[in-house]
Amino acid sequence: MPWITNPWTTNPWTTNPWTTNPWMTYCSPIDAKPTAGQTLTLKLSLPAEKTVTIDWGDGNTTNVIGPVGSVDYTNTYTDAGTYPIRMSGDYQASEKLEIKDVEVDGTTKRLGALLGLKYFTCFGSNTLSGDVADLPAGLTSFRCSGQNTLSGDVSNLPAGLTVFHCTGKNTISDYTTPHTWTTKPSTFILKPIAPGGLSTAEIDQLLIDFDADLTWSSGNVIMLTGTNAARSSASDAAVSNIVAEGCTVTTN
Amino acid sequence: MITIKDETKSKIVTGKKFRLVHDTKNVIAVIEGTEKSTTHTIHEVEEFETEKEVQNYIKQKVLYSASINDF
Repeated sequence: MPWITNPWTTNPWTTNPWTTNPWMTYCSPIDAKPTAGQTLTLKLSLPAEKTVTIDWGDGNTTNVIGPVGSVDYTNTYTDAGTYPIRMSGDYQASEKLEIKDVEVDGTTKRLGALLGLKYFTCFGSNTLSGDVADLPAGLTSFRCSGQNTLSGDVSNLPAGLTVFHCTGKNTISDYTTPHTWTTKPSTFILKPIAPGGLSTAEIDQLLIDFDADLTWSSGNVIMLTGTNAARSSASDAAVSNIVAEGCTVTTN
Repeated sequence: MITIKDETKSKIVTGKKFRLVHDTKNVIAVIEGTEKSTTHTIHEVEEFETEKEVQNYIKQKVLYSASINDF
């Protein structure tokens, strides 16, 4: 009898709108924490035929119509507070996100919603937290300083990273091996400033793997300082090879 | 103190001073002072007491800094 058919599986009007209605989808990669009168600058890249609406959390919105490449969008907050920034529309197509001038909070999981993100930069008093394994898989450039508390395992970083620059109170403290590096980072800076960091054995193995898996070139930089442990003579040969190829290596 | 290792011609810089690594045209890295560390490089290295001295040197020599990959 047709009238007893399960309406949740057959009636299109009962479909969950939060997963199927494009007008109701958004992500909230960060919270802005401005002081009164402070202006947040958000640099965004978006391909052609894609549109994103930035909801700054204070009632203001900005529509971005692609193609745009590294364009600055700003919002001045009248009052101090915590404002979730939401991106709706084709936010998954956003390729670049750069935040500056205002303190922001965020997590790697929230950033992970930006599936197409290739470049992420956040300088200042940010508090980005979470496991690096949750970063967008296609990320090629990650720069984050400030008070970030990122955690996790170096071997879980996105495979295509060509720039990794992470300072702050991060507790990235593991390097699980065996691990094969398939992409050479021109810059690899891991500098925790709080308890955490890689052990001597992990630092040595990371440098040995860098030497074995990759060919370095002039101008490349590896920096493993801060509260990372010192390296030992076990990585002397690897460092010698990497440096001979033109890379500058700094360790404790 | 800068020492030069003969077999690879690389420079080994150990200490707590600010270090500027460059190739006479481009800034390659600025290594923060205050924390003891060791830098191995085949490029030019200058040592400075303060960050301001580093920045002044970059301006004076008109070195190009492509990115803020330091501090």
